[in-house]
Amino acid sequence: MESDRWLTDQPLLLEPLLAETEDTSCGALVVFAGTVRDQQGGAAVTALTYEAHETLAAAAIAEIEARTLVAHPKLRIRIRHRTGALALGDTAVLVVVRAPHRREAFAVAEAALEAVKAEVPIWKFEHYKEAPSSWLDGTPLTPAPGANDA
Amino acid sequence: MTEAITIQLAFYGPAAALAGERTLALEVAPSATVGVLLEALAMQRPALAPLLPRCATALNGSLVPPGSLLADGDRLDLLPPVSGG
Repeated sequence: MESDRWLTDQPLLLEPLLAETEDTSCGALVVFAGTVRDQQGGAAVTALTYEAHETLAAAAIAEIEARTLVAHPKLRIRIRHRTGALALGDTAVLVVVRAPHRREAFAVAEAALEAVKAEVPIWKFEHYKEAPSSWLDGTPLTPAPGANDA
Repeated sequence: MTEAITIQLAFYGPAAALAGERTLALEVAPSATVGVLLEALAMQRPALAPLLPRCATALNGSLVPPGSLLADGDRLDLLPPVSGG
């Protein structure tokens, strides 16, 4: 699998995802961009680094897209996550959803982002102005339902 | 007595920081499960021990539960709680 479709260490570009999802049967387009914020829990953040398990992270994002399309066949969705070193304001993740109507587009975009946060093996290392850099705590991954529980 | 099997461990994110390295080869008994290996790992790398119960494991590229059996030469990736997005 070409993980570059879902992960990149280069700046994220919105235009290719808009082009990929183009569909005149869709009257709603929702774009979510997660960007690097300058604080976390009251501490001033100067930059951050994302590390990914590339093959599993790409597979997890691909699976989120695929199951979204199974549940919403008339919808278009693309998700791409950045890895490596990011500066304040840089885009960390893009979720692009097109749907016939706005409610479905908003709901699906939000659900897809929540799934990215909970299911994709990516880790955030934050750099602070006045404290040592540290890994953010996150959400434990769980094996897929049906995985062999020997 | 049957010879021990060797598992190639790979650490990610905060697990690599706590382990002090990215990879580690660990020997366990032939009938060992992922859970047994994690117990051995906690003894070898005490700094990792508190994180291990919250880590997922991928065996040769697929997420597996702790009861999964290991075989010689398996690769086990240790995946701490995730924080993407």
